[in-house]
Amino acid sequence: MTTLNNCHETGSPATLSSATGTATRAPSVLLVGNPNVGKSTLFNALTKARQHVVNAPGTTVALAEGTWRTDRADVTLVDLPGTYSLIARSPDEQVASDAVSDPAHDLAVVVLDATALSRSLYLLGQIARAGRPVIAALTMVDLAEARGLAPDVEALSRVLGIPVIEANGRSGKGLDALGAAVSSALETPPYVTGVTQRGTEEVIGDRLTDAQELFDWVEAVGDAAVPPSVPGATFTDKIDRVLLNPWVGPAAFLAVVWGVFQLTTVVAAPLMDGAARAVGGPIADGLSAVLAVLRAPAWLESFAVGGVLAGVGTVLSFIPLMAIMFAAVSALESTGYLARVAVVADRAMRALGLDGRAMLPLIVGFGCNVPALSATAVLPHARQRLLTGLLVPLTSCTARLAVYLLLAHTFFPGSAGTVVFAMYVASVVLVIGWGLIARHTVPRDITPEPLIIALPDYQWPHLRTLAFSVWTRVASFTRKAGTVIVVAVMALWLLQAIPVRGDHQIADVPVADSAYGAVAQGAAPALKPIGLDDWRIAAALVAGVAAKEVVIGALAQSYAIDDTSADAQSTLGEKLRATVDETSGGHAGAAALALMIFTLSYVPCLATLAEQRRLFGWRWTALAAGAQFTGAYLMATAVFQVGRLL
Amino acid sequence: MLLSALAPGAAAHVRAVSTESGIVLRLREMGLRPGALIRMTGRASGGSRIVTIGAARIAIDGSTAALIEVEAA
Repeated sequence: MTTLNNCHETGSPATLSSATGTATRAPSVLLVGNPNVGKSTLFNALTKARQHVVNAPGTTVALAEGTWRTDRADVTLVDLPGTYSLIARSPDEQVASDAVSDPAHDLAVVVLDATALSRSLYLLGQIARAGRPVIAALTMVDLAEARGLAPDVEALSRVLGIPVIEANGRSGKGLDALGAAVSSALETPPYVTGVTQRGTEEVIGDRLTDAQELFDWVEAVGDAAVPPSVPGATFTDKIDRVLLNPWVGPAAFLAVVWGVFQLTTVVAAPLMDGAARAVGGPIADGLSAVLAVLRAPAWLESFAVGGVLAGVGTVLSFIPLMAIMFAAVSALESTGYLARVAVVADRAMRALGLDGRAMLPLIVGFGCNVPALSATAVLPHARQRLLTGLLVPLTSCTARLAVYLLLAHTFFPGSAGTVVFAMYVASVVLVIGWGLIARHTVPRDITPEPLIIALPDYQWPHLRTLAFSVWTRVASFTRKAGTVIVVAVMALWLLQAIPVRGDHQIADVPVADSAYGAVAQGAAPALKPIGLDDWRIAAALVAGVAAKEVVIGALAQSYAIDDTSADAQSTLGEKLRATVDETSGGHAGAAALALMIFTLSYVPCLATLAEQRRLFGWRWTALAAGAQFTGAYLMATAVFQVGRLL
Repeated sequence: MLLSALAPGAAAHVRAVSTESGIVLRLREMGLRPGALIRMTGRASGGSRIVTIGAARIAIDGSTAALIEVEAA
């Protein structure tokens, strides 16, 4: 498993992994609760900036872990995935379930939602039954009060036999009292009364009968602590009448997705350009000047600027985009709207075995695949995140549009618009096709479960929580995906800098004589079935791994066209047309279409691969890229072979 | 009668759920237990039903709602 160093110097040395180890570690406290009960807001209020993201042991489920300074000691607080039950139905719920039964953790703080107390109490009952020491934090009391359903905190504490502290992560109410309760509980562990203790795995009779025992206990506790009442329609119900309306709901959802799409394209673009320009301009010039003063050799300057700095620049240019995406996802989640997306888009995504919320990353992917992958965080189940994350690279991002435009205008001047539109249709068809294949092959246990989902009250997003969440996720992206991107860009530089024939200096090599050119020449014959057996096209596709928009630049470079003016674009078009006419044996249209299909899906760009690795690990990333490449190759071949007969 | 047939605004007690035990358990965990008092809040896109139990609100897809037997309260 991966254990990461803290990203903040102030962080505690204890991590999930070390919880099993050293004697001097800080006590480990788990924060457990149903989804949407204000658990993460509480976590952020308690740990402030002393937090970071770790993977749960042996999984890709990310957990936030932080240091909580209570009145007496520092404790390590782990924010577990939200769950309704310890009977896990997803890897995320399994992580919560496993952590609760792991004796390495000293105490559980169960977050009870005052507006849905019986649901919260059931989870508390399961934890109590597992024999774990526990205290409770009662949240959402203000919302329950507004409906005349506020539980009697003292009665609750008395009947449960454990400390129950009313706490609010937004206002800070009760946080000190919670800290004090945790310190005392670490000294004298409290246990829930009225529930028979036994291991989590031990089930008596069948599950329903077994759970009934807890339900009876929940009813009894509820009777003692909650006033009986049947509340009328609330403000949230009124908003839902609009946002979940069979006609208005889908339109409102599309408007929200359109907003997120605009944020990650239109708003992010100038920020990305700014970061890229700063690195490529003043910073690169400065670095060159310093290296010149130090009399560094030319290849070193080329490596520093074209390799290292270019890689760093790529990562930096993604940071504003990722921050915007993380903020949008967190905001949608904390307002309570995301749960509604699961309802509104349920029908559409169900056919692929996916949660309605998967619609969001898949649409964002048409802007850029990298933040779309991060948006898979909206899905509560690890397998759903994986399947969606494997489909995201098939959504045609705007970088690919540049390639389609060049090819469509060159080869189909009369109907370029139709051809480009057809590529977007092809992208949607690919997502559905691969989705169906993946559903029936790879993650076998994605069965379309019935939709049973809690709809939390609408709330304004809490800015401090949002900021912490964006910060920790951006830090994780920069550290984990960033390093991969920098190393890969450096490797590409090396390929282009190393001469394999002729008499050239390192880093001063014509494309054809570089290792990169040699790879392209070696690979070109493989493009014969697609009608594209040409090293310049192969080279452009290799370069396209770095970023899809680079394909055009790489073609221009191979044809030795220096400037990027409109004239040069049409010159490039003419030269490309001449090449493809030759390689396709007179069926240039078919070959161009095949090239577009190939470009659409042959391999995700470097940043996408790096983000996939961060989220799902190398194995899935490599497997998906391999499957995608094979699929793209077969489809492109079919398009060319069929097309040339027509 | 079935939950799916309950009119918006109507209250009812849950009687029984006839489907596989895993789904029955999940419904019970979410508060749809025999005897529980619920209120039909409304119908959502895709045929899902929004149901209120106490102060909590859950959405259930249309076909699952058709497996839940209720008695008007």
